[in-house]
Amino acid sequence: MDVKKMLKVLESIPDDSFERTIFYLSANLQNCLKMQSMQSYRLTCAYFIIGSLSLLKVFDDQEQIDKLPFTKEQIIDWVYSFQIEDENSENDSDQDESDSALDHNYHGFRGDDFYSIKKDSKSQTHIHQGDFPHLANTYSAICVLKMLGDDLSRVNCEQIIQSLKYFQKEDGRIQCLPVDSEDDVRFAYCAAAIHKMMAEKLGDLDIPPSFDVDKMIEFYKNCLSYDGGFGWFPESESHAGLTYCLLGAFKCLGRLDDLSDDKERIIEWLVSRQCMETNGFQGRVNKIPDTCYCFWNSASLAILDNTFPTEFVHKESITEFCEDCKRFGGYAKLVFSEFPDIVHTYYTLAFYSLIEDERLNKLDPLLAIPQTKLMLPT
Amino acid sequence: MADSDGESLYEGKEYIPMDEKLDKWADVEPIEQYTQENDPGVCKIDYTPGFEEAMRYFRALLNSNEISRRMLELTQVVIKVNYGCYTAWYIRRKCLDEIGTEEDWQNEIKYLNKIGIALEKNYQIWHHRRCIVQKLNDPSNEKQFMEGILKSDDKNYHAWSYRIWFIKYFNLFDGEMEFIEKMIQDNPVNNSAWSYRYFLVNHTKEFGKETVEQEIQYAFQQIKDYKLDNEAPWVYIRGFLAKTDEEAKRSQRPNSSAKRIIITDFPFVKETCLQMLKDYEEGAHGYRFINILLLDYLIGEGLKEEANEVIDKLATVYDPIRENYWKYRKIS
Repeated sequence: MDVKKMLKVLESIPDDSFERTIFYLSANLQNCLKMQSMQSYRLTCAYFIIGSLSLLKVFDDQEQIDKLPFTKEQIIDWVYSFQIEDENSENDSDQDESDSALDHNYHGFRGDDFYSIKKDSKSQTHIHQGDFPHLANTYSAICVLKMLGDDLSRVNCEQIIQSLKYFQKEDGRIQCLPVDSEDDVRFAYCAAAIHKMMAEKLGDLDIPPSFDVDKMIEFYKNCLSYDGGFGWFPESESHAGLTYCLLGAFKCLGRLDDLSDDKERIIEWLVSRQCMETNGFQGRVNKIPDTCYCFWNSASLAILDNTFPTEFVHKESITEFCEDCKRFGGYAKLVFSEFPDIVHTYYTLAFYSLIEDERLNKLDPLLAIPQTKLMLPT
Repeated sequence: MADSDGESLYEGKEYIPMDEKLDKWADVEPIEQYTQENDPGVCKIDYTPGFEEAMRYFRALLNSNEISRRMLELTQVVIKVNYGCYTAWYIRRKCLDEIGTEEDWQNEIKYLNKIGIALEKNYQIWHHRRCIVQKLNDPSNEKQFMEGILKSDDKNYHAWSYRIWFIKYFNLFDGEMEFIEKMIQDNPVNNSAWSYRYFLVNHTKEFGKETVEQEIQYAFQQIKDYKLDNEAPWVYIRGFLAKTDEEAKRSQRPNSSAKRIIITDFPFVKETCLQMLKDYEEGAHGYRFINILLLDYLIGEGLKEEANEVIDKLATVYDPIRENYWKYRKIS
């Protein structure tokens, strides 16, 4: 569906419920339009869309599911098609053995599907070079599967846990690929959350992470800035999104107590990100409010104490801000943004869920997905 | 092979490896992406024809494990159409590492300078730049490059983090204090600049009462000269101060990058706050910040009742959107 046609349909839907939002999301599930630069993050796109639909209780109602462009099973199979499998180990003699042995230590989900090529008339294979799992996409894949009620039985849980060590750099920080790549705090969160979800699936929360947790904690503890927020690297400016990633990583690894000395300062920094004159939440001191920071700040507070978001967040003014950012059923980044996007739509809904909006499923602030486990038969 | 689509990647001449130099590509069999018949195409993304063609060639060279000059050129095309493609950035560095000449490395920095502003919010390019500058071991161009980026957005998070890295890595602290004073003067509400100043102080001045006092005075002056409602200098001041001896001691452990001194060592902080409470009107934007700093001081002094009075005022008058938070802070 092209944009003009989509807008026309949208306008015919009443705006007083989430009906428009569901239409907007459903259209994006089918086609993320001209987001060419997101090609390497399609699973992450799916995470935002499925996450929003799941919060909106769409998957709790068969009638609503039937209206989606795909069945749950189709989406689940599609997600699994991104998983890196040991396909070459059986009969591919062309591969340099040591090289393939090395690469096969890397398990998880790739973000690109462009590696898939035709092997013979019936089957597919994957290009070897550069086909790495990516932590954000692996995290997104597992979340999407969980939200769709998949039992994760086809996820290579043990191998993924063992692979995580290849994403750690010598100084303890985590990078997004198992080879030299970007290494900010976001990926520490992904690694910790992936480990937690895999350990849960295996039914053994005591499985130790394959990466060096002490080293990692030591590195990221130093990202605490002078004002009580966390930055990207040691000594960089405090940032709410990165503060969330760091608190989440520590909590997933059962190490939140390592921050207890600074807990009160962190709380004050988070609470202070609510903007008094303009409403909304900002991500850094003196920045303009942005819908996604309603989530990053509130969820960070929730990680520290479940009661904090309802207690400390000024519901009325923040909700008013979010509604001011509503466009065509979705939510935009800023009050003066022209269009909504799936990222800000998801984080606005996730924020609403945290402040106990009854229309939505409850969010697990730590894994950033709805709590409800939808283990319906597939 | 070329297409006439306006969005084609063949507009700029230097991005025409396949089209102009056919010989170079004659032996490459472009590979189509394999899509299973039952593939539902979830979150399908519309690609331009140029994009698909670049990816067909990229797929072919990846599949034959090729690391070559033409692969180096091809990654540039792929990045142009899909700058988020982390694989292309990775392969590009691999090419440079394995077959790059000194000239290639020098050209890489020129290339990054050229596309840097357009991709100023892209994660991959900043990481790439760090790798290249590290390898070249030459940061001489970096401050100048920063100038353009910060002109476009003086709060660019990537840029400030990157600056911290190269200044520290190459020990280029000379002149930085003058630079940041100008940045703060140009835009006093720019917290990125304040945060950078903190980093500089940490590395260039000896930590102690004298330094902390100077910094607090500087920040107070900024508040008075510009506006009360500028949170950046307020959090900057509070960042140097601890409310208890224990907190101060803990913050001063080795490796700490946020050392603090007990607030009561600086009586002028309290005096200044009390004076400011008189100098500004109660309803002034930012009046809460004076009270919050004063509260820290009263807690440091152990004056429970006075502290609770300030907390009550914050909850009801100066900062009511955080009413419940201030109630939580009540000292029993």
